Amino acid sequence: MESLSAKQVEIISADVQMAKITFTHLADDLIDHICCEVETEMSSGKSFQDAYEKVRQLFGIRELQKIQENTRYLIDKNYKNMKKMMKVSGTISLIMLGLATVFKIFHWPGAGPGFVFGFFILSMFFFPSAIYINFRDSHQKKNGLLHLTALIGGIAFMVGVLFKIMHWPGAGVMLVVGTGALLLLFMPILLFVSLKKAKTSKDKMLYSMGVFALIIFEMSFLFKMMHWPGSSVLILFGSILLFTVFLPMYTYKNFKENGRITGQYIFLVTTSMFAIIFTFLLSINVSKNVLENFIRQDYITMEVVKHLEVRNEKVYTEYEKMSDSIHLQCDSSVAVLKKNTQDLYDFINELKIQLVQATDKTDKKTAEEMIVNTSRIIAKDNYEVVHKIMLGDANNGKATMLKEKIEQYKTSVLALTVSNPRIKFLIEKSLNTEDYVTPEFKQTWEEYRFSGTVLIASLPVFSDMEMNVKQLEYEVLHSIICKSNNL
Amino acid sequence: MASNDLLKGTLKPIILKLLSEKGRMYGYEITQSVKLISEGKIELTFGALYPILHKLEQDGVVRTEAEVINNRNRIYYVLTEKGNGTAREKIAELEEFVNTIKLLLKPQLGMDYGIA
Repeated sequence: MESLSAKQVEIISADVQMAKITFTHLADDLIDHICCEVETEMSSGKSFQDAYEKVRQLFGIRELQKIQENTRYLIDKNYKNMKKMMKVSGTISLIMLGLATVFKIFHWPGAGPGFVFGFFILSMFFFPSAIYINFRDSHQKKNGLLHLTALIGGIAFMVGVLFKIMHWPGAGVMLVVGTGALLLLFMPILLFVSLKKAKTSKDKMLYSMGVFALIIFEMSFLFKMMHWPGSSVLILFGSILLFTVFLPMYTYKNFKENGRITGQYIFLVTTSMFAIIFTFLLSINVSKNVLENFIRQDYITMEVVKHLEVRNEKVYTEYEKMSDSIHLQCDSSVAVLKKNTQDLYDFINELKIQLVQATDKTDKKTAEEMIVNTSRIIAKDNYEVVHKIMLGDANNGKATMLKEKIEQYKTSVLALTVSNPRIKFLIEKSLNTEDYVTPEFKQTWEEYRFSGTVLIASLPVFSDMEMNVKQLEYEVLHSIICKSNNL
Repeated sequence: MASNDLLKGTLKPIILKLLSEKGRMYGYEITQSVKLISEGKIELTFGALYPILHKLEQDGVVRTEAEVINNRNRIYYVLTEKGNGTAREKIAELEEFVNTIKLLLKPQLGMDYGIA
């Protein structure tokens, strides 16, 4: 029987070390076993290289790790239970979230509870057990802090995302805490650990750059979510660093070391792609040009409204000067018209202020200034708040109230000018609240107007209503006066 | 070669049997013995062996002795006091099981009992 030299044993044990076998004397078991196999091969006349090459085919790093996992699984009850929990909760939450997404797309009821339940299981069961398993598998005591910060930051972040999706209060705080923990604690510790592990200075640079790029990328996400200034610069810088510098270098290094693309690498790239797409979706930036158009449109409409207001005031002043007989005939109608018009106008304007207040979280006075100069609004592309306020959870939002107000106004105005078919037509046309129906598509008026509309695009919708109300006021006023004058 | 499904419950008694006969063995030795005695029909892979050995150690059935051989640590597995009893139990249990299976597989078994 051949026996291996100290140097040859050294080579084998270095390879087994790579698999990070830390379970009691398992590493000794495996090294001795592999050595015995190699010795048996060598006794049939092979060189050490050839013999070891052959044996290595059977005992890859993955297989060695698998043995450690199986051993731990067999012995450690905690480990076993955690692993089971990880599998079960991972599957359940994935199914729940998948179904909830489909339900959401089709506007079926139940998407909300599905998201809540799925996220709850994901963040409270799957994530902690996965971290535990990872911790036990790596089994390095000094990495405890790394796993702990990942656990806290990850849970806070996931709960924050859930709150954000459900439009619950506190999402911002949760996201800041989560991202903050990941940014300020997890990332630096990760960097520290990777730097310690890195063998060459090239590796060190690569790791630092990767963590640095990640920090910038995460920061841009946080800034965007919180509407802090500077997010676009960060996202540009972060993604350039991540995709054009770090990723190619990492791929190169990985390829050079392994000589082939490993499954782990494919997994890493795929998951990071998903994470990045998700980040982009959450913090997506509507093109500035599109937003500019809405600002301009609103500005022009509001200019017309101002003009109409002045004109209507003139007509009212003219009316004041008219003879008593006319006043006797028309005063009540004119008063009703003026009051109802002002009420509806105020209601619409109030909605604008409420929306801006809710999205930009400002006081009422600032919001009032902002709706005059809409370019000052910060959360221009926010559609969640618009949706929540106008449509509510089940079409019970302000839009339905608005529709009712408009209908009341139409009825009351119509009563003042029954005989005039032209005005009747105008009223129906300019304050249309019919549902939007085409042969293949049906939406209620509320959804048609406000579903998925970003804040800056919803303001011209209101301004347009204000304009039409003012124009109607003029037409109706005119017809009342003319009728009594028999003109 | 025997299938994994059939082997599943028998590995532990087989290992215990070997240990009770040879006194102390190391992992590679166990796999080779199984291969030799079964004339290659049963292959105890090291992936299956070490988890079981560690489990037995955890349960106090075997203990280990480390020795430096050919420049490396060799871990020998030895039955403990308690392990001797366990080994006898498990081996007897397996023997009984094998005999029962044999009975079941006997030809014309049904005829004797008038079933068929």
